[in-house]
Amino acid sequence: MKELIKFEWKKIWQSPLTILATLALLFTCIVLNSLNFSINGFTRGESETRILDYEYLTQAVEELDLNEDNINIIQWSLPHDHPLLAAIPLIGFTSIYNEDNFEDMLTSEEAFYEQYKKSLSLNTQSANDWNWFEYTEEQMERINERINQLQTPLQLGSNNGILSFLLQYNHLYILVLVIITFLLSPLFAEDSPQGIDELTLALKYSRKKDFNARIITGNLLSVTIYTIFIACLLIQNAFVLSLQGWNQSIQSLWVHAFYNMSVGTGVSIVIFDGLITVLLIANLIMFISIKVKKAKLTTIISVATLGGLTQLANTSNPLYAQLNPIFFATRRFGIGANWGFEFYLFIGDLMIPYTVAFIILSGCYFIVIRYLTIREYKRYTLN
Amino acid sequence: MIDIIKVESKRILNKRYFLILVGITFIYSLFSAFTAISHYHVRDSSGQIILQSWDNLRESKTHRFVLDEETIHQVVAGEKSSPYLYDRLLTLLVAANYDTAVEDLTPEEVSEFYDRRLERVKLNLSRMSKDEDAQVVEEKASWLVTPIELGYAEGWKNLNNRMIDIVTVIVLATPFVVIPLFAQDPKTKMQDLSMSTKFGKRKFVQAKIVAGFGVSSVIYVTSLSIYSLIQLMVFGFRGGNLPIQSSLNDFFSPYQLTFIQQYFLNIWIGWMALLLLVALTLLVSVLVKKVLSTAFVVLFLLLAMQLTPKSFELNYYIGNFFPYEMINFSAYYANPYVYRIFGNIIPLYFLVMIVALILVLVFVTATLILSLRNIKRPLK
Repeated sequence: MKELIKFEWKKIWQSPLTILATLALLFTCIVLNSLNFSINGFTRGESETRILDYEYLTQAVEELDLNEDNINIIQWSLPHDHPLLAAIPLIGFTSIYNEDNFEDMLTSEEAFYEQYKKSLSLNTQSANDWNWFEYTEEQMERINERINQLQTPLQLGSNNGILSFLLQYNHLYILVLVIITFLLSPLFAEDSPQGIDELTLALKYSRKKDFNARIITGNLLSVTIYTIFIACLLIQNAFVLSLQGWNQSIQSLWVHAFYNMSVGTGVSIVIFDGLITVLLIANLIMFISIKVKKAKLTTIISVATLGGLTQLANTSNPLYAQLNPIFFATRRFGIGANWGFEFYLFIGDLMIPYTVAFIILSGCYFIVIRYLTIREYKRYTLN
Repeated sequence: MIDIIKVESKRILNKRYFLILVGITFIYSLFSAFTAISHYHVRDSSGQIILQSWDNLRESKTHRFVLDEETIHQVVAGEKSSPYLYDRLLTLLVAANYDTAVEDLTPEEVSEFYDRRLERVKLNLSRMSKDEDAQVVEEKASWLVTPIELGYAEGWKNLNNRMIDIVTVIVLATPFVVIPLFAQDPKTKMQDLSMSTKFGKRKFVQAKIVAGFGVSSVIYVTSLSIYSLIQLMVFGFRGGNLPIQSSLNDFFSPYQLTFIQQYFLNIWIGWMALLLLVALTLLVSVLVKKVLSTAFVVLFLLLAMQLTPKSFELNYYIGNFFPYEMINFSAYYANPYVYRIFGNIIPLYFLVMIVALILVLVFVTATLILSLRNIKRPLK
């Protein structure tokens, strides 16, 4: 089996399209990101990671003259490498739900974090208005308990490189899916050099082995392309902006999150979820290929499916959005889209973070696609 | 030569697919027209229809007048507040020019109507031009004709505003049809066959290029004709010679154009965008030689152009000339970029045509040279 996989792997990399696609991905990412850097105006942040304690809060309020009127707009006028910039989104978010005076929440570190936790709770409730279900009182209690377990004070600092990476990832992710669509469409086609021919089907016991080897190769190829994509983005951002900030609290980038984890863990989860979506799409394309058997028609159907899924991800219906892997892979970060790290589903007494629910949902999709694909093994005939 | 063109054209688009395309365009055009009609229903605050769109349009067809001071005074006095289209549009146009409510306008503000509009036009222009061009541009804006003539032109307005949808689909999808002209299908042996001929290689390549442009142009013209005819038959052909400033979208447009002129400009620009993409596709197919690989490169290029970051500078020099941006027709009239070349102000809608034409010539020449070289070289 290993030999067969190696053989299929070599075959797919000998195709000019694979090399062309990989080079196109690299070239496009490098060029578009370079343009992005010059437009965004992000600069290398020099400030170190600091703890958001009373001293930091007081310094920010005094030096920047913060009040409830300017707190949510001042960050757009500060330079990207300002040493106090990191604290502004958190203070701003906290003040939105603050019913007392702005100054009252800044009297002490405890007062600030108490209000921050209240804001998290209120934000979760108000975000839930958009959702397809409503939290019951008991469920909100449990969420509040989880919020109270948040360890404070938080660690913040400059993280422009990671921020830039996330924004570029969101923006360019679709390129990976398009490439995989084209590379995997001919895999089971009868009219393609990489596809199936009479010899493959002639042997009694090797059909299943061969087909499985192709599926595994397809998945490996998808992982490779995705890895190249992520590596390209990380290297560019590390080089231009530096990737400092991995050990900061996740709230440094996802203001509404109430997990006790670092930015590094959060970004790793984003990359992992993106990988799951890539594998799902890859297996879907391979199923279409095995069903349709013609390379060009498979490509057209696959591109149309991908286009359809991407369009559906723009829905305002929360249930359809959450069922769509592309929505989850590309909406994790952006203005107004701090997604998934503060969102829970309840099944009876079980409290499941959406990040975990997404993995289970993807697993179900995968099982369905796999079952449908295996069914086609025996039925595959050449016309 | 003509025979080769015919054969190549039939190879990439046979009658059956062409008829299917005509059918789909026809159905879509009807759907689009009847969706547009429903926007002319007048509803009360609870959502009930108080005036049917047909009645609204029929009544509005007979009204044609000039937007002068007297008319504006009537609007301010509340004499033009019927639910019909001609009054509603008039009120909206007047309101668009002021920050205060229309009923509260003073006679002095009314007399300044066109001056205010001119100031706004100049402000828009200065924002969309490079700093050094702003002053020259402001001087040029003064030659807008006033007062504006208003009247029924819903056929042309809807056509010009909504045609962007069908043009986008046609311009982005049609280039894929011409890929098989130069790209080699592994099953056929066209390349071997053409290499074995003694004479006529250049003719063959030229015929293919002509076939590519010809077929895509036929698709474009057919689809747009069906779409335009249906929109105009549903809404009526009148009002084509009214100025585009009589439409709410283009009220602040700095260009003195009629709806018919706008329509033909849109058609022409759409056609140039299509030719540009077809020329690019032909070149890529000659370079890459395989059908799927060509399709991939073209789609990837389109995506990459779409994902290019947008900023004033990037758009000014590059972004505005991408095919997908070229067919964003509303950007030419309402709040257009301003270009000054060799001291003259050139509207963007002319500039994109010139740039597209130059690029088409470059791509076609490259296609010709490379394709002949492919044929003459020994088989790999």
